[in-house]
Amino acid sequence: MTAPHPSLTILEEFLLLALDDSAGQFYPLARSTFDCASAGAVLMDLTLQKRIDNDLKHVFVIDATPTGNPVLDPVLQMMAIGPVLAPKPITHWLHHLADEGEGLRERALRQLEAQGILRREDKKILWVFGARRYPVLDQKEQREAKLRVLGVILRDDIPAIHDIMLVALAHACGLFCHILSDHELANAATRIEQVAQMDLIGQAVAKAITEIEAAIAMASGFR
Amino acid sequence: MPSAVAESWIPSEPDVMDIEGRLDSGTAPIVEEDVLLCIQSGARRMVLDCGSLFYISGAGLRTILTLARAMQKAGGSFAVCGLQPHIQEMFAGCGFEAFITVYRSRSDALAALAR
Repeated sequence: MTAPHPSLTILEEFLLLALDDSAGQFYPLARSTFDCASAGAVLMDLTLQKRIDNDLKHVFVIDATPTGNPVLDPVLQMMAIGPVLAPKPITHWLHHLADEGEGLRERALRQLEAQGILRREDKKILWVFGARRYPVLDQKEQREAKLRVLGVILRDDIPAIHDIMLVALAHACGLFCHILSDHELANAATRIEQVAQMDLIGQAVAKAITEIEAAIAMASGFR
Repeated sequence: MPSAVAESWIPSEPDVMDIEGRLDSGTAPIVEEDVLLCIQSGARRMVLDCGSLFYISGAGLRTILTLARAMQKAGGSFAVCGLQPHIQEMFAGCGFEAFITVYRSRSDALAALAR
């Protein structure tokens, strides 16, 4: 009865959504925002793999059996080491994993490369500055992820869990203003808010990003 | 041990499942399997009676949403009733009430779905 499960992880699909295919580069997102959303994506993936569960306060490891995914397993292993009787809040893991955000993305991008979905292209600008691009080789997966997310925000039925998580991440880090036109964004704003709040981890990611942005803004103001 | 018990199988009446105790990663898959089986078997009006449910985790919330979605796709009606205040608060916080009808009591739910 449930919808066919996308073959890519939440993190992989989130990266495809965040990738501006015309430029082969990620849309301009603050590094801290990108890191926090990447951390949230990994936690979401672990919930979908039934390795962790959470409530409003804490995250629990419920099954430390490796998933076979090279991005998720080191995180799961690290989370499982902690004392079982002292589960940590979602925000603890978000901040902890966000510190490794670039590494998580790097490993997920290698997975996408290995699947033939994109390739890595390193160039030098003015023979000095490195510039990395990720041209999409097989657009099917990226197009499918975008179409599914657009379908969710343009309809009013109950979305699939995987898609709720993607919408929550995309909304938390402001991706929709890159994916949608101003007119589309204005029309879909209420539905996006509605869907984005449906996942507890997605809510925690949005809150963490808001707090990080506020802290940065405050620090900038005091300079 | 939490339990999910299909109490009625009279086609003209809504099906009711009592969800007791905890709905989390340990119990949610059982409830999900049971309710999906009911929907696949033709149930089109379903009430989850959560009057004795005292804890729900993210996995439990996702299961309820998955079941409501499955029933919506099947063209049926799905509702929950008897939510404890702290669980109703989680429902509201996640915006579930926009998609799933919540009734105060089992009798309210049965009366509404019987129409």
